[in-house]
Amino acid sequence: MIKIVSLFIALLLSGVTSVSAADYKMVKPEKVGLSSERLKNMDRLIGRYVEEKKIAGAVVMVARKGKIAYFKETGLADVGKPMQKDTIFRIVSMTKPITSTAIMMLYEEGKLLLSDPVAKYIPEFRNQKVLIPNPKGADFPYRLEPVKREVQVRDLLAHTSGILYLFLNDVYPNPTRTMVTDLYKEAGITDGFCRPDETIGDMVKRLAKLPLYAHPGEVWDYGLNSDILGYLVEVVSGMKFDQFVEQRIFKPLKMKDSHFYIPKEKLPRLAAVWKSDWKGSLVRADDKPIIAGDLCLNPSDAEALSGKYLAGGANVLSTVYDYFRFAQMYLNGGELDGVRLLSRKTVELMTATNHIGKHDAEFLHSKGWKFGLGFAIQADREHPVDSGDVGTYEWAGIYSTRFSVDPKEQKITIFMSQTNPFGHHFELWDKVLVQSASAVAD
Amino acid sequence: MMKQSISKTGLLSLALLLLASLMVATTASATGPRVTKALFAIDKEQIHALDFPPFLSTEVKAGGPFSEIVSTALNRAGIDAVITTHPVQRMVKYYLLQEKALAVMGRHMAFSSEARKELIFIPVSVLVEQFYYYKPTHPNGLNWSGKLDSLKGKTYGAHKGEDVSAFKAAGVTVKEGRTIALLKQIVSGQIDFAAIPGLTTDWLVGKFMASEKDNIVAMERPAGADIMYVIFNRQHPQGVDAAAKFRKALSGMVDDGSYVEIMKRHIGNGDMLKLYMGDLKGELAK
Repeated sequence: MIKIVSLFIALLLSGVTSVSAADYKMVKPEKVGLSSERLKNMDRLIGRYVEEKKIAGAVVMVARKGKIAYFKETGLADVGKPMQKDTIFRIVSMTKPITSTAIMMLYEEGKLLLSDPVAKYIPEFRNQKVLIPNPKGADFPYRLEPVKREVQVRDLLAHTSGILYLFLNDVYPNPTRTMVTDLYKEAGITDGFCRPDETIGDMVKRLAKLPLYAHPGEVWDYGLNSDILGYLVEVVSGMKFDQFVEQRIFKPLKMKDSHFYIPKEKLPRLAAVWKSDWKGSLVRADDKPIIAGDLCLNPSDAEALSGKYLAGGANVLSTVYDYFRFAQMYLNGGELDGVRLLSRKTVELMTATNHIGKHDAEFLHSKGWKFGLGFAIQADREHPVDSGDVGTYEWAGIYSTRFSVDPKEQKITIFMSQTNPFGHHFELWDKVLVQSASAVAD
Repeated sequence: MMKQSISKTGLLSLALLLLASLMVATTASATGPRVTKALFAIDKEQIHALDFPPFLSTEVKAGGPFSEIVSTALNRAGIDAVITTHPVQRMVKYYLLQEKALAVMGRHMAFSSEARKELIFIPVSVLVEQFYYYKPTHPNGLNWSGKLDSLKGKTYGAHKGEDVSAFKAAGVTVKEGRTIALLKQIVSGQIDFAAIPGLTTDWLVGKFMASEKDNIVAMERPAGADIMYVIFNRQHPQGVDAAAKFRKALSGMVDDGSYVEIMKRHIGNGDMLKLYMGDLKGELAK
């Protein structure tokens, strides 16, 4: 009887102290070893960027030891509409860790192994070839070589498959890469940021028949891997990808404002995308796709109430608070508010292990960053991008969103804005993480 | 003494056998489940083809009628080969010209005169194509008279490799794309019309653009006929011999009615056969 009463009290207390959507349960920064005074630097930083019209607005959160210590909205979400704590953002590539979570849940259920060839589940991945440049003077510029080993599930999680994104052609100009993505274009493969009118399975099956850019495991190249994982979830679980994520991840974690397609009643809460030249010219993007080289972004995709395309690398809309709950689940070793999605050992495998060998995950960061099974991981403190600790893991989204989890300090930092182009934002994101780290005061 | 000796030898043999079986078992269990069966399959010759639903595609039953017809003819000709479909034509041409594959399947495949000398074209089907346009953009149609001059000033959507010289000579602007991309460009107004077999249009619109079903319409007069070929490679050691055997087997299928039976099973009888078989017998005799 005493045990039951104790359990009831414990449950009651845990309910009282846990974060609820209603009032966010914020605490004074000092209660969790952060400095209120130093966090004012974050106010000043974001305020300055808004004032200088580099961004229209942002929502920033710093949480420590499971408590939200800093949660502030600044500027505009849309013309004449102030940013709110519950503003909904296109988180784009921050969908990827959610997709990785779905895969790792299936892994824990014994439905797949990370070393499984993807072809075991999606037969179109059989007998893949790699595009290899021939020596100068050869009759043909390229040849196709059979893969040394098949693409495995872990390659998709760690971006070591040799599958590319088209938009990175502009970032990493290279004739072989361009040839591979030309074939993507000819086959109607897109990055998914301008949503095509087809199912993800249709896209994946075509993509699987095209040459890889490198032998699996021999490269780290950010690509359409999470989109393939989303389809893999469908094949392995027998559920549509969005239904799996909604039922198995969003609902248990009470991520009430996270969606693949936005419910009509939440449309007014969706932030607009703004075009910024980073010099003071800030314009709200219209309904047309934003095209720059091989990059196609369609902000108005987020206004669609339904659709066929379920991109594991790009589809989700969410809020800072919802993503905090997702990140806190990871920081807690796979559990939040008594709901366990992953085991501590699996979270360790995903976040504390280097899966890309000698390569660096430089795309969003710098040397000194490695990649786990869904996140970039800080491996040392000797390089330009420093998020505060070795072992910090994070990722970002192309409309300027970023999250960072520092397990050593038990700290989560989330920044969300909706600004294009994203290239300018590395500077701002890095500064946000410096403010967050330098607010630690214990 | 003898018994003991046998026993020792037997024990040694047994131990060795056990060790060997353990080694085999360990190897098998370590590698077996980690690779697909395909890795151990004996390499067959491959016929590379562009995905062309519903006639030839992994998305349709038995790969579609052309897949079944060609597979049956290959089988009758004693050619051990499988059809592999690709999403882009460049891959098909790569395997033919660079990897010297036994054969490919396709239409609208442009080759240089030099390359053509090394190829043997065997027709598999004569497909009637329709000009499709977007009714909301052109409510009164496009006045296709049977002469391309009547479409002067319009923009035509061509498949890669399609011979468009007659369109250009008639003052028609030409843009290239995959069939589904052409249909989407018809809707978006980037092109005015494209020549596509009716069944392909129905299949693609039904799968990807169902809401536009009533707006994408065919001009009354057919655009013309196009031939689907199996193209054998003289540069492959068995290319010439296989082409002759295949032609004979395919002609036999046309003569004994098995070609028609397969087509009927996939696409139906009557007009459909006229539209997608055409005068194949005549073409094969050329």
